[in-house]
Amino acid sequence: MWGSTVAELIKLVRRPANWGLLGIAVALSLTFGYFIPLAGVSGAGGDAPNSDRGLDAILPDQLVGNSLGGLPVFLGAILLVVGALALGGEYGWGTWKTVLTQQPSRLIVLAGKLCALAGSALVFVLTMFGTGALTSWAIALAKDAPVVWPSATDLAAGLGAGWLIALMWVSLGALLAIVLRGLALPIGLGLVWLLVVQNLVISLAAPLLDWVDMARQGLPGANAGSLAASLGASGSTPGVGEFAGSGQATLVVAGYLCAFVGLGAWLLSRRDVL
Amino acid sequence: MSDAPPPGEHHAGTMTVPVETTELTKRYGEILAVDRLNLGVRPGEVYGFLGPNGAGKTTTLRMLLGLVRPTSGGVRLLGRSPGDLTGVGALIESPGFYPYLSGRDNLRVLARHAGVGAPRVTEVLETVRLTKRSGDRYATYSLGMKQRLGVAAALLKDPRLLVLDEPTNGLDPAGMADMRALIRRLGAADCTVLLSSHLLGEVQQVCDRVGVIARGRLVAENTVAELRGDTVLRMVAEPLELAASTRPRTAGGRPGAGGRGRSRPDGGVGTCRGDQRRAGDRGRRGQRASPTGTRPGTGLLRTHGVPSDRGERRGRGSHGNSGGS
Ligand SMILES: Nc1ncnc2c1ncn2[C@@H]1O[C@H](COP(=O)(O)OP(=O)(O)OP(=O)(O)O)[C@@H](O)[C@H]1O
Ligand SMILES: [Mg+2]
Repeated sequence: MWGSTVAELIKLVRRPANWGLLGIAVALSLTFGYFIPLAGVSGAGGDAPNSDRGLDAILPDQLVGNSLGGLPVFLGAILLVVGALALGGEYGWGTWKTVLTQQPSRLIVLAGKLCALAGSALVFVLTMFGTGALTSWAIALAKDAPVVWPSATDLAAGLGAGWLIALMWVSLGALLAIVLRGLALPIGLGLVWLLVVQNLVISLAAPLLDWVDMARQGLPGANAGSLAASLGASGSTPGVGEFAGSGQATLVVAGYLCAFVGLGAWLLSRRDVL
Repeated sequence: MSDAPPPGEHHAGTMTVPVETTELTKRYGEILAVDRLNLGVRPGEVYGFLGPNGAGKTTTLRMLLGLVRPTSGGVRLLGRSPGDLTGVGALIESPGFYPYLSGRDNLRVLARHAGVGAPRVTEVLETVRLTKRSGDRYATYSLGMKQRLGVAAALLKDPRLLVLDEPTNGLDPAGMADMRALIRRLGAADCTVLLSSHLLGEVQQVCDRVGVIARGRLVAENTVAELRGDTVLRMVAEPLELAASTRPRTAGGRPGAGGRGRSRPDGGVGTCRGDQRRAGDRGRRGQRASPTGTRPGTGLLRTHGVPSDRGERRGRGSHGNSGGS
């Protein structure tokens, strides 16, 4: 399996699209997490989201929450695309047969892919934390504000939660690619779900309808949002909110992760490779 | 060319049978793609798996390799349990690679999956004469280069059994000759080759034995010598399918009817040209004379134990050399 993991890592690293996605993620995360609030502090933010959060919200001690804030929705969408790319490409290019005739079983190839994706998801989350740390530190210096870093425990908890949420979205992308045996449709449907349907359910329908409110408690995005909120992510960020307790949220997110991986593995091992 | 044991002996002794299927069947809904196929390929031989479009060749090979699950029946490669591809290399249909990686990096990735060392990548690139362009992205490769990279991937594990599904697809005459020479070289060494094709001439040039598949059934199995000699392979094809087919083919079809506007597939590769045309002529005659078994949209290959009255098959160029590079 190690060989397959290395093979998948090579592919992930050499694929320009993945670097493009990481770049976009960093840009989005810094823009919404730091630059717009900073503009708000300077009085130039207008009505932009997060522009009224104040300087305190973007200083180094808020690093964990700020780094996690994007994961329930927009960074999640990017991670979903990463997962769908990693699996869906194999269908589009007809490379499943090329890889599988080299020896490894389907489950070993999938395990290799997931390990490589897990590594990438960790790098992704670390990048969010790293760029956030640099930016908040620069802002603190520029504004003569105190530079106080979160405790190691908080950082570790934040990284762990971020990684878990990232893994869930990556594996959802991978599962959709396996189910739909392609690339375009899984990405399209995944994004529609994540950016549109789930957002409507969480922020519009749930407050109006009791049963939707109940159902929201079980949604992957809502639980990811709750987990992020419990670690300090701002409730004004889309998808973030105290919809469920942090314990439940962690369990549900982990449960979705296992379900996505299990279902993907089951389908992949059962179906014909065409 | 090979020291394969005579017919009937391949189960004897300690030699493992490279390919063995028992009552192998695959059904896609209404379509019976492969129908109770019993195939036995002997050690060291180059076995031609010949059949018209849609006969079930690719489906059979996919089942051998565990890519497609048989509806019923069993498969054994090199005597191992199904799914174990140790010592097996394969190219199925068109090659599939990562377009953003170079040819060499594609092979490196596959070598990782296969647990094969990096030096082997260089070797196989050399074998298929792709070393010079191996640093270029796969997306920039020509059809023939892609096909050669596919064969290189199949050779990565230094296989004892090589399964090739129409490996000369997309190659120009020189490339075809190269590929056939390579297959013959491999067959002359220890490797057993299972080669699917719809080109009778190709199979006759490179194979020791030929199995003919039509509508998913093995309708004939012969040594090439027998095919050349007493038995006439008669091909009957339904014209509709010929018209529908976009691939170059010879099974009862007009040579060069591939519609690609270039030379016919076997052009420049020696003596099969005339033979194919004759086979086609016979096929068309056979179709008029004996339409039994044809059905709309389906090609049918049959062998008849008809003595070769004109002896025209005996005059063929020597087996194994006519297409040499
Ligand atoms: N996934 C599938 N779903 C439904 N039918 C299929 C599938 N794959 C193959 N078939 C059918 O099975 C039959 C055999 O197809 P196969 O690809 O094995 O033929 P072939 O001998 O390789 O033909 P060719 O020379 O054109 O490559 C065809 O009728 C084909 O339409
Ligand atoms: Mg085929």
